[in-house]
Amino acid sequence: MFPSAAQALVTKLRVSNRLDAEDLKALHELPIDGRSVAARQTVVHDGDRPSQCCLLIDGFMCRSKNTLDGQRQILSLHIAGEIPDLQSLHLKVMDHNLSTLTACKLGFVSHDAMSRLTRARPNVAAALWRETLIDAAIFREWIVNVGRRTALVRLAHLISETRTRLKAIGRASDGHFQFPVTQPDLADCLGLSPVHVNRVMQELRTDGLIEVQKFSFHVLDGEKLEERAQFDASYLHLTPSS
Amino acid sequence: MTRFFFDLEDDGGLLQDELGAEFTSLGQAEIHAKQIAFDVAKDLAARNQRVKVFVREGSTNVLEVEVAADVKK
Repeated sequence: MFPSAAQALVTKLRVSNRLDAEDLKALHELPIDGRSVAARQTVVHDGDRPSQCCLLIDGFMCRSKNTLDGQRQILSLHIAGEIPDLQSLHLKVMDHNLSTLTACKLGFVSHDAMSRLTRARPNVAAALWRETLIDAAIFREWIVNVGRRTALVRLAHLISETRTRLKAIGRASDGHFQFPVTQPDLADCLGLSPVHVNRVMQELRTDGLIEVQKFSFHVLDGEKLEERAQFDASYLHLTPSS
Repeated sequence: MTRFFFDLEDDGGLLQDELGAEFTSLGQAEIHAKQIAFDVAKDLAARNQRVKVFVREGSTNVLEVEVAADVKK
């Protein structure tokens, strides 16, 4: 197991949940099988019946579905500390793909171990439930983004959301964060063509809102970017709840 | 599979596609170019009167798609 596996989970859970010393002890004792996985690998496939959950320790993952003609729609992005297929604990058949976008460190936790943890620590069970509800809140925001916002607002919103989520786990500061996804990936998140993403990315740069070098993002004017993005972080529920 | 590049020209200027995308035929690339042109025209309707997509194979332009708003008052 990677030494930071349980810590990544704890850091993420504590963003939105209050956990006591016994909860933290139980989380640190969770048996986690750590593995390094290369970028662009599908870890869990649509139709699979997983017997374990996948904890993202480091890197970026996505959940996606493909159309019959092979077009991919990315449904959600995932950052360190999240368990993107947590629902597989209760919904036995996967209805989408879970893939790495970048090289990732992953931790696998058996469903048996997760079930034992949630039975023993109801507060942890509540925290995990809350995480899935926040997931759903993010899905709702993405539906609005893809369905009703212009390309520029969609991209600005995605950048604002990613920055806010990374900042909450200590992986973004002073407007700087690493977001190593390609323009085709962004296009699949936003329901746009890569060329269109390139066009609006250029506009955000020209307007002095962001700088992008390789995969390093720098938000130059966060307030203005969020205004352009129509971004209101309340749906991310970043305040701990008991 | 052939890699085609889709350069975009709208009222904001010309933007070169540096990534490109692979298609089995020029016909498939043409459909993609039309989708880009319609999407960008729709998305930036407030600002654009016309949108052009130039499809390149390497440095050679192989086709051009133009969407224009013909407004009559």
